[in-house]
Amino acid sequence: MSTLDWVVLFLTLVSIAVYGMYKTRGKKSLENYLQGNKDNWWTIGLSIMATQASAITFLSTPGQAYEDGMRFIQFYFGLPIAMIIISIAFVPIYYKLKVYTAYEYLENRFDLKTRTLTALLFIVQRGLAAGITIYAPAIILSTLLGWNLTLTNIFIGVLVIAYTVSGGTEAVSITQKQQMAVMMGGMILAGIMVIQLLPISMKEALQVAGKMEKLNVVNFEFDLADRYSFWSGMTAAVFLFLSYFGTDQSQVQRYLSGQTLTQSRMGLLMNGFLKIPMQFLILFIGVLVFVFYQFNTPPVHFNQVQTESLRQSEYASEFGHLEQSYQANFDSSKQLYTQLLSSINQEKSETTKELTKTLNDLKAEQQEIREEVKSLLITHDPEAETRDTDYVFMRFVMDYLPTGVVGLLFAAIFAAAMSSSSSELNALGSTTTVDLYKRSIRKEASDTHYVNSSKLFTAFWGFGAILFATYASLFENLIQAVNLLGSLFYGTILGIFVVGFFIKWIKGQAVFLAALLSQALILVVHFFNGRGLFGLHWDIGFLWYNAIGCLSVVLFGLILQTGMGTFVKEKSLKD
Amino acid sequence: MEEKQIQWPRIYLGLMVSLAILVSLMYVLTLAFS
Repeated sequence: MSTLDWVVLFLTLVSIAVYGMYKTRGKKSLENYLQGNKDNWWTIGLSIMATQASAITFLSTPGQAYEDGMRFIQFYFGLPIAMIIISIAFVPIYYKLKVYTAYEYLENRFDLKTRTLTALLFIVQRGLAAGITIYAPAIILSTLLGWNLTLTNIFIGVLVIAYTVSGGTEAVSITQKQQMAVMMGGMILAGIMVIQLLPISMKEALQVAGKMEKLNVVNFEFDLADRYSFWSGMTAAVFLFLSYFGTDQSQVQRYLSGQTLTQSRMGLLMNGFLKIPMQFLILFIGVLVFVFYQFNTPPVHFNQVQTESLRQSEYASEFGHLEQSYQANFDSSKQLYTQLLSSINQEKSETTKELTKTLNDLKAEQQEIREEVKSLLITHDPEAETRDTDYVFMRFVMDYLPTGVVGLLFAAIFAAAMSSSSSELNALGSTTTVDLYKRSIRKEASDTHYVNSSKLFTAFWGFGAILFATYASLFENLIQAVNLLGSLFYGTILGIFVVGFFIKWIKGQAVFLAALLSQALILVVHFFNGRGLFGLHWDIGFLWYNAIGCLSVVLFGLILQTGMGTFVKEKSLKD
Repeated sequence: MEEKQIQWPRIYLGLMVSLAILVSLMYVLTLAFS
């Protein structure tokens, strides 16, 4: 990167953090520290979007579109539905009870142990996810920029800790506005530049992408094992989004900082309107990068550090041969694309079909060469990370975009990491203080004491996240890791809230036991998924765990409450 | 803006209609270039 890029990168990140601290300086009450300065709807909407848009979104999503096409967008189809349900059923109750955290409601509705269990489930899951939120960009950015991984973790983590601890919720929402502007500004600029760099027209780019199965946006076929289809998006994903936006304190805290119930609801609905177009844009940029690389030789492997180390090793000549084959394959495809486009224009359907088939065969051959390179990487270094999807977009940015824009896009990725981390740390600090410390450990203390405790817990979770980031390399796919972590616990948490909101008949004891049983069930379903147990075999996408978890809490709750009701009745008759 | 002044059912309906339009457009994109 050039000096200008470094200046843009550091100036953007540091000025946002300093601005956040400056604007929120001074003494605060606990209410002000945890709920901010009563935001308007669009600040809430941006804050909700910035919390969900992590660096993973900007690093992995274009790469995912490059490899797998745009079908990932279907995952978000259930989001507007979830926003409506939360707006109708969840937010008014939180407002009515004037809670700081979502879990406070559970004590009001059930009992202390249900509140504590749910808060603990959130803390475990979100505490782990906070580590991944920092690790995800750190591993990739440190490789791309040639930084030390631990130092990158510390750089992101310490900046976030600084303003989140000092300014609380208000600092989080103030910085998120600017971070969102950097993220979206950077991505829109990148999109415009890819289009300008394409050697063909936009219509032709769509034709190439379509023939190479990258515009596979909507799929109406029903398949439980298929992670991304219209049906999984409209059913299983709704449960995930209900749980994430409705019960995860990192999101609940965003809309509880609203001036009024109306502002909070409108902020949620803004997210419902804008999320799908935003994801579409990011995926579409990935597809355009794919088209660009059909006319400009792509690297045989997008992680340059890995290929450089191969070039310096005893496998250099073998790697050189693979690169030559890859180049020959690329040259053949490039010629065929020109023929394909003229064939489409002349409406020669038979020729188009044949050319598409040949191109897909060449693509499969290209994939085989890439796999051989990955095998070579493993032979050279058994510990080597061979997945390069997450490097596709930023490799393109570094190789083809102009000075200054490169720095801005790196700033966008870092800003994304910081925006989601800050919400997570803010929520972890609040939940630890309000639901555990203030409720069960030190019940009577001054307001200042609890503000200081919140700061201390936020910092504790921040440094914990940095530490966890060091061990996150155990996870293979970043998106899946975060979603899986969520899916393992989210279903149960959502189930408890659903029972609370909609089935008044079920009481605390029954829902508590139902939650424990449901969590055990989810863990069994996960660990034996694809392998089977006691002669039963199942193979389901992890997105379905949310639905299973939620429904099983409701079902177990109904059974247990019925049993307990009968038991109490018999006992009182005997007495 | 007061809570009572807002026609929430209309906004919810608008959101669902916009979802339906987005999905339809994306499906058209899928079919048109496959």
